[in-house]
Amino acid sequence: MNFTRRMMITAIGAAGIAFASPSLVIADSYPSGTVKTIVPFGAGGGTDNWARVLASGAFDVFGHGMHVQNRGGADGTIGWKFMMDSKADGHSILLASPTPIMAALMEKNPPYDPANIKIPAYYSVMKPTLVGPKNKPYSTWEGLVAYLKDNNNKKLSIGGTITQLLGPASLLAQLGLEKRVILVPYSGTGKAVNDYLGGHISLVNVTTSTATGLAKDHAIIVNSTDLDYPEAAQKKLGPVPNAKSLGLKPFNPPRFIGMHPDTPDDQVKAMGEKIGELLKNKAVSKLIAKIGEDVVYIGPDQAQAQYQEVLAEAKKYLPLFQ
Amino acid sequence: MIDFDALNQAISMVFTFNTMLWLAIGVTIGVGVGAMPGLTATTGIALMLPLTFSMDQAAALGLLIGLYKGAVYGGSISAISFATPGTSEAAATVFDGHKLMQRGKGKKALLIALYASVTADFLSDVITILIAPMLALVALQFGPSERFWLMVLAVCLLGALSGAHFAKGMFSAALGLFIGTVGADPVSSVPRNTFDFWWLADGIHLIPLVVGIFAMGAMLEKVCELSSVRHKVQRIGGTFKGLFSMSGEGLSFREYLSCWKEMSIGLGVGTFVGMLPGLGSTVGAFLSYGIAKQASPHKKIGTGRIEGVAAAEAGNNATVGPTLVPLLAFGIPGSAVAALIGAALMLQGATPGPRMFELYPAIIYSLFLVLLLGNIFNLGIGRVFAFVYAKLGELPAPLLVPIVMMMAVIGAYAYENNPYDVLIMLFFGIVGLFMRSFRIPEAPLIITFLLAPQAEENLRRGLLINEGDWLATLLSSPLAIGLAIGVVLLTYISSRMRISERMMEISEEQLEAESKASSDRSSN
Repeated sequence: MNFTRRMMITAIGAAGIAFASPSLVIADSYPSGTVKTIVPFGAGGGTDNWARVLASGAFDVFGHGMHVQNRGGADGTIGWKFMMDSKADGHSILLASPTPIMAALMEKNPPYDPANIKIPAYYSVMKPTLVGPKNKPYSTWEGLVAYLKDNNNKKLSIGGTITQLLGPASLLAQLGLEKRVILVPYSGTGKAVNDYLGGHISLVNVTTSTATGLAKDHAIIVNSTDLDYPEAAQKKLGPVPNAKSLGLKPFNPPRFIGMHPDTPDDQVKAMGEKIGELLKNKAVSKLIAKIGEDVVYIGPDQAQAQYQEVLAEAKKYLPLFQ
Repeated sequence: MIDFDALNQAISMVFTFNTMLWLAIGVTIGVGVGAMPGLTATTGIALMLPLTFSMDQAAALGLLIGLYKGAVYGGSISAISFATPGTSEAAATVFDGHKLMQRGKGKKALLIALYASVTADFLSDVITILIAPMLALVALQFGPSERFWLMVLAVCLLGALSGAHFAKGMFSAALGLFIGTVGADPVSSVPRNTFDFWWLADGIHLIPLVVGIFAMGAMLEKVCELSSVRHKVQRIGGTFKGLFSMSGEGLSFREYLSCWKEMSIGLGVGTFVGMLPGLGSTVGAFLSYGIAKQASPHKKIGTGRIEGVAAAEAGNNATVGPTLVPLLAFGIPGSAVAALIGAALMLQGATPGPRMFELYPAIIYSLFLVLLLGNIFNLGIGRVFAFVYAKLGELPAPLLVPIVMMMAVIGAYAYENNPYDVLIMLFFGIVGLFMRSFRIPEAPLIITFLLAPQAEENLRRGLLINEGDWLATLLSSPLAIGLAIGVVLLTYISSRMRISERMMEISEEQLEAESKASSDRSSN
């Protein structure tokens, strides 16, 4: 076969494009098969809901399915370790929150180093919301701070998952009041809310969707992030002070995608971009709104750096849980 | 107050071919999932959840609730047929159910399991529908202290399951207690007793434990029997031929009615346990079984009695409706299954919560109708499965043993696709064989394994809330004090009963010995 000049130019051009932007080429052929999606928590929780919603649009965006596997237990460490033991071929992802980070940091000999992970994207940020009874001196943020500052008052107990508790812990620590509360960790929001409603703990820190369910009969005290609630939730919750409006440093617990640390960077980048596309998918967006969540997408360029900040914050507040 | 417009709307949503079809599919899949060791209702529902995204509300509820009901009953099928509980909640069914199967009364056992399951499930659904908000308020009274005492009370109630030899029962309980401590501690998540194996960080899972102790243990015992006794080769062809026949000793209506007491115990216990977050249907089954055994010692539950099967099955199925109580009343799921059903409701546009009755009355009524209808489907579909499995259980041992062993291995792996669970199952298979050889009862092990970690979690959480004050933790409310008194009274009464039982046995033995001696003298 004779190589014509035109063919030569086309070939050089194609090769040039391929070398100039490898992720563009990879993005077209990647992923090449089913994406193993590890949820380090049990079925039915917030992360599991996200995984199943994302998986519903995977064929449209990836051209392949997402196989959701629940690998719950030991506060997410089992699922994280399972991801670390999977092949670093770009076809295994972890959907996680700061809970397994905290759990690993608490261990003497953790099964993994939470710093040793690649983060292609954040897909959302939780908005831990402190809820308390109405008509109490601590039913508002100002009231809560004043109540805690008075040493004659009894300590208040706050229940929630470790990730959710990090929110009020960080706000109160900035005011030097972290020792005036008792942080009570629970394995799930449901159990914490049950104890709160029964009067066994003073306050509870919950997700946005749980807070909207409680808003009618309970006081919504503070949102420990600097982010606004989704519109529908905002209507039900009314005006709620957040870290930004209070002039405090926020704690924004991410919902992030993690990949094996040996995964090639171009695949990590491509996965981050695909996740971005998936979040924009019409059917997926509709389902996200239905589960009461909203998208906060941070792409591959910034996700890794932001993750390191979260890790530093988690280390800072670790002593409060030990 | 009934909203008749919403009820009419719900009836038109539920009584459609589409909803009925999905309900039937749900129950069929559920019974199959339940009968397969390792696959649980939670796994089945999680797998089916994405299918519901594009369904209408009633059909989605039909599929998920049908699957749930089917799976809770389905576990009993393999428990009775092969001594292999399909789900952990069916473990208590093994004690009497498999003994009946071994005596050729498998069909009877499977039918009482089905009827007791459906009866208790239906009645607990009615209770849920009528007084869900009231039940939810009762559940809220149980905080860490109250739950701790409840666990202790349950362990005391289950003293009856320690069998004839109290010391062996205590040994079994101690073993369960130790196994329950393996893994991350329930409050601060620090691993303990993991022997430096990271995969033990989440502790021992209930499914591999139960499948190992009951199924693998029993099959290893059968292997020992087979290798020591020369067995006559049976014609397998004939057995397969009879697989789909309807022969076998059935269950009379009279026999069904004779179990009313055990079914009532199961209904009460299951409803109560179901509405409390975190306890689950396995606790419901064991508790109901233990109470029924203590309540009617003359029935000799544990020796292969239909009453034992009825108590265990009524106890686990009665948790199905009430487990949705906290979800419907407050929007807080009390179990993984309730969380998944809550997610399905959210994806259908109805966020569970206290205002659900006000905002989505048609969906609530649809849910109630599906809960009730699911029992009828369970009854029909469960019968078909029961007949087939009853025959499978009669397969000759040389064929049955490898099948069950294979099912046990697949089941342990399928639970979480985790090869370590297979290792754990095999280890507990050997433990099960050891326990059988030395006639050590399995029930105390399972009970303490289930309840002790929950008791510890609640005690430690209570201590955390009360800043280490034991008195404030243990006696924090009138309910906690009442439960503590209940524990003391129950321990006293049951130990007195046990002592008097033993005294009677000794005097009977003495009388027997004396009469034998006198007859020997007279013959001399």
